[in-house]
Amino acid sequence: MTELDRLDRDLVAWFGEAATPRVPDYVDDIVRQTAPIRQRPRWTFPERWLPMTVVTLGRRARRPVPWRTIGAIALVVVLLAAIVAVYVGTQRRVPPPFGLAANGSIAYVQTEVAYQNQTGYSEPFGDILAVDPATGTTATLVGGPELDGQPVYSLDGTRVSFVRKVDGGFTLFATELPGGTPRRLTEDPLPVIREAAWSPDGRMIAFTVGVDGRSDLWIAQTDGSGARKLDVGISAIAPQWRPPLGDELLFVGSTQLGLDALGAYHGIYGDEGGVGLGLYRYRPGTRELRLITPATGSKFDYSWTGWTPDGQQIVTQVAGEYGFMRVLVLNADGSQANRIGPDSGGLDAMAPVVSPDGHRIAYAVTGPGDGDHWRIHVRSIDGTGTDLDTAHEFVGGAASIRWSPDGKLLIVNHHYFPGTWLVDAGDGSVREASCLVAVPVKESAEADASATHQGHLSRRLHRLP
Amino acid sequence: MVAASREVAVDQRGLVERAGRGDHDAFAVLVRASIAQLEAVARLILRDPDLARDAVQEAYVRAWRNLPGLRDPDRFDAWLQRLVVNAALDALRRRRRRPIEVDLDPIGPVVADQTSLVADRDQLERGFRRLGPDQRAVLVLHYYVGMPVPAVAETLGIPLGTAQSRLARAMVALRAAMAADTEPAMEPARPGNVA
Repeated sequence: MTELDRLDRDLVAWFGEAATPRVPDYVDDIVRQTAPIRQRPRWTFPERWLPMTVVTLGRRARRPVPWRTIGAIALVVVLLAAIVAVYVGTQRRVPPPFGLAANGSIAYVQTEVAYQNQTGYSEPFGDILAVDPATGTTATLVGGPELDGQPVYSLDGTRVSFVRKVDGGFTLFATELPGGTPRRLTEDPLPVIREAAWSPDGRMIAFTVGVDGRSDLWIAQTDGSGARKLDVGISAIAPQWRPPLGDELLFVGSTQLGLDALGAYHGIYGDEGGVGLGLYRYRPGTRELRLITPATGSKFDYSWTGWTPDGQQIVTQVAGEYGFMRVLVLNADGSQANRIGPDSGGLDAMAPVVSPDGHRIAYAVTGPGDGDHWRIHVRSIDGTGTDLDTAHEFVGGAASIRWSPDGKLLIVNHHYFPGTWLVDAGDGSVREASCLVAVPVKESAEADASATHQGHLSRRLHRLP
Repeated sequence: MVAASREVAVDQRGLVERAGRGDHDAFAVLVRASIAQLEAVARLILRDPDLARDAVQEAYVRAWRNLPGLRDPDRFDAWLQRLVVNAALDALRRRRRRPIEVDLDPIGPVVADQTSLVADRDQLERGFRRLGPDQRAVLVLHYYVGMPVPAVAETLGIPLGTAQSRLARAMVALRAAMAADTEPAMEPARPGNVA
């Protein structure tokens, strides 16, 4: 006899011992309890009128419902959905035309003419061309005998605005791509046109006009129906539409209307204080002007200011302790949300540029000493994670940093050393894009680089107007 | 003897048919004739007299109400057992979070030859209590009621293969539970005895 057989026997014996049948004393209770209960009508039982084979077939086919398993699966699904919802909720979603996009061509100016601007730098004017960075193929966007410059793509990439030299000054134009007829957006010639910024819906362009030592804020309708100066009462620099609606403008302003403010903004003048730079938000619809930072900024403060693609935060640079530049992430009301910088101190962190998806910031870190040597760093906008230090060391501050639309590359265009470099924002590798070597201009050695995303990184890495 | 049992069967069939047509007196006779074994089944599965009483009462109420739907009167006993077992399982599942610790008093006379049990009665009791409701039910139907496995499967409304595997697993689990119960407590390590 095996152990199991023995257990069988023991179990039978124990059952018999433990539960000998007997009539319980509550049997009468059951009889009384059931007496008043009405029986279910016979016709309500399918078994009574369906063939037995059908009934038993249904029973056989019917498997017991695994409610517990279903419940567990449902719970897991709900948990996963909740996790996904929380994750997605924490991710700032950016509607078109913001967010990631496929890379397209890069517009630039092919020129033999440069005009010295208000801050002392020369800007190229000539024909506007576009180059496909993948193939090196170029195409003329705006040609002809006119002198055109400062091309800026609309956010959806279907149009480009540019500034044309005319008798008595400059005018703003825009044209459809490809091959559209340029439309004049401003009537009378203006002394200096800078910093054109397309509204998200493409219906307006904000820009600044330098006149009599101050910088005025203007808006032009892209259908050619007119342009007007906005009466903000202060000198305005570097306007940017707030994503995603574009119902207000962010700009760097100064109550001091003279050249000192502009010069300080662009890092041209040596005065370190007292120029009163601050960040302002302005609603053209209601003419509401709001200062969101102290209006005490000085040289280099608020250069490279920009919205995050969702319009909820602002990245900028300000001088911090011991005069070192610091990259700040501000909330839309100007309160500080975060500070971004290299892990080691004693270095300038500046020129922040937000990635198209709004998750990362690329910024420049100057080496100790003269500050002319700098590298690009990439870090999460919330300051977490590792700080990617791209290996390539750039020399000389005249350059711009831009993200490619797909958020994978950083495009660096250098002013002093004509050329364009593509920096992989994932692994930090750097390669030179030979197809984008700019055409030198004849009149100014400083205007050698002519790609449209050209900016200017001086010793303090500031924006070229 | 055969004639007598046939007579009983015929009589039960008649009672079931009458009860199915609403004759409560006939149902009362059926109750008194069947309740002893069903109550024992419920007590074995539940190991709690109060719960067993509730389950039996619930099963008979369901039986009375649904008796008109019983198509084959000869299957009354199996049908009733199924109702009781399901009521017991429902009760046990409802009470699972509150372990039943009430001891069951022997109902009948104590078996004289206790030495024939390989396993101690208390060991079996404790081991049985550790089993799940479904395992308890399949053991009771098979070893106490004496149902063959196909009948167990039909009573519980599960496929035959499931009934077979559940029965096998129940025995293994019972044996394991009893083995765990008999393991001696671990002796404390003595000084100098550490490897």
